[in-house]
Amino acid sequence: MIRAALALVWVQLLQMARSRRALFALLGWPVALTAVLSFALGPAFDGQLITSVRVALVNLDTGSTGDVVAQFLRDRSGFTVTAASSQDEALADVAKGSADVAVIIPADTTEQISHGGKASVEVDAPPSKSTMQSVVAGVIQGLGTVLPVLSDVAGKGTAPRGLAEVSFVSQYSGGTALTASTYYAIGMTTLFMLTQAMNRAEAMVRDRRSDRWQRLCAAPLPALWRTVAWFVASYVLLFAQAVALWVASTLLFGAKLGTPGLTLALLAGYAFALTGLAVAVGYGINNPETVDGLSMVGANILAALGGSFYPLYNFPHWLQVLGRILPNGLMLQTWVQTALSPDPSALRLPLCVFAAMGVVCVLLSLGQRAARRNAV
Amino acid sequence: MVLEARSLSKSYGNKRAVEDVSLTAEPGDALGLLGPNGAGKSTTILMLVGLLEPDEGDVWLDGRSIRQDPRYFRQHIGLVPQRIALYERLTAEENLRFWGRVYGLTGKALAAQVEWCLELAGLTEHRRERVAHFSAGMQRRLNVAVGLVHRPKLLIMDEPTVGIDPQSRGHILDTVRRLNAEGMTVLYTSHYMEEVEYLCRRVAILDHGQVIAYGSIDDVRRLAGALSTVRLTLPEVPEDALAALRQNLTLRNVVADGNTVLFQTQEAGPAIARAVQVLADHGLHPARIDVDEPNLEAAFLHLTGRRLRDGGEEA
Repeated sequence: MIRAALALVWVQLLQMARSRRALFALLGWPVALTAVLSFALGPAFDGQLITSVRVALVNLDTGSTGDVVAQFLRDRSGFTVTAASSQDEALADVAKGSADVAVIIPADTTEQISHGGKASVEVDAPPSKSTMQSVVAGVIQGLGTVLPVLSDVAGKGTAPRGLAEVSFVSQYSGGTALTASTYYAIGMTTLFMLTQAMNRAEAMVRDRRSDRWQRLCAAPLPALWRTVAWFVASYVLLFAQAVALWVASTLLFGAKLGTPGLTLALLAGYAFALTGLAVAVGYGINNPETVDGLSMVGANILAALGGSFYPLYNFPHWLQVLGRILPNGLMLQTWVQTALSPDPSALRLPLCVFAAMGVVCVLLSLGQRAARRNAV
Repeated sequence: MVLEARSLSKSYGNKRAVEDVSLTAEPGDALGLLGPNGAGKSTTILMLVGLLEPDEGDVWLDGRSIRQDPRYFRQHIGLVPQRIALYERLTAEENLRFWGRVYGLTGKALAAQVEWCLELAGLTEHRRERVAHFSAGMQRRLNVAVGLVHRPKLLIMDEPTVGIDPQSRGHILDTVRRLNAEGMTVLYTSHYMEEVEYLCRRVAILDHGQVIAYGSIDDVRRLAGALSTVRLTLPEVPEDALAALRQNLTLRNVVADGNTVLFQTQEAGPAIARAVQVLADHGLHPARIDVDEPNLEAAFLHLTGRRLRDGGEEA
């Protein structure tokens, strides 16, 4: 049985690999669209890409640089900055939820920079706000290159010496600024995996209506093994697509998508959930046009709500909550978080959700198969 | 006895697709299932191979019930579906290997069967070409060969020659006839009566889901009596001319088929003279006159008053 099922998996993969059209839909089109979105929308989002962040700011700097940084953050759209009198007060604001991120500019900032050194700006946030934390850190890190201009405009006196070497280092560990390339690489991969899952569902419906399926059902390969073979083939395709997009986004567009181990684990989990969904739809719906409609409309609505087209963090709060409930929204947010701040513990809940979704969908499809006694 | 189907019935909603169909096939038998589109042939076949559960009745293969031992059926029946059931982006050899594996063949046994099937289908030279590049006839031949890859006891073929060239059709018919002569039991469905007459020793004629005639080919032919079938080709067939022909009691089962009028009669000569006279009265003159001796087509016409290739889509 296992050999027969593996043969069925192999045949499906071979069919796909030999179809230029299918390969383009699987890889070519997603890479092209990711490129378009990354390059076209990247400048529009620039460093203020994804979020509206409430910042509790403590400026302890005895010189002028701290003021420049504070003003810079205030001037950025997407940031709401309130001044805190002390580090404790700022951290308390974050703890009680009135601020998302605490930024502490140390007392020796100007002095450090004046002597050609580096200043350490502390950016604190709870784990649940790690994405916002990394955004703030990224913006402050990027400030070094524009600091001379800002200093002049602010009229705060002579710019510190050695500005070309100025950089700010936050205490935030492993933080990476979120760019359009990174966000859309994640968004598009999430979207196209969903679309591919629906394509697989449609292919399954069409196959079930074919005489080839009839012949397969008349052979000594039990229904359970046919389902397993379909699942495995679909899973391999989805996972291969995800890995290919991940590699392409990293190499071609410079997207920073996180550590390989965590990313692969996340992609594997998401692919499992989507494969389960594909099998459930493929068994549950008999009309390929209906599945096609679901693919065209449903998948795009899910992708929009899940943040694939537009950064989820700029949605109204209730839409963000809705987005997090959707599997693709959950995937996108978790991946963004993982890319910015590699934290294995952050993957536990999403992976459990994906595993449960995959298993439930497969059980549903087997139940549908058993209930449909007269079906081929 | 290889196959026995007893009192099979199947409904789709309120529509009775098959009603009380009983058939048997002895080892080495060649049984034809003949009927127009929508007669219930495909539904009957789906029940015979276990793809559709009958509402009533049961099927036995070598004395084993399909309800109790469906795996035995799947292992020993070869199915050739009506439409091409192949992976079009795979080569002929890859298709045969795949289907052989599905039936549990491996190693040398698989390789030997693949070779045999390629030779049987006349595709040895095209073994590494993808099915998508094959002609319709080559695809049909491979479609038949796949059904044989595990050397089944019973080969069930559902209209396997639809839409192909005469050469491939002849190849398929000769192949099946040879396999049957070597001892393979064959159940062949078609609405081409000449194919069934060529291949089969016995025939069951289905109409509206029921067996209306069942027995040896000669027995079923005799159901039409000694009636010959006459076909008159006309420029057109007006209703009033058809009605006039039907009023003549010596002309039986008068039907129109496009620009052709068909009727049955015991004495062709006088009947044709009378029919030509009636048509002349309506200003019509036959461009061509054909006379068929009694055959399965005539039997079907005699039993139902319709031609075999009339009717709607298959259920």
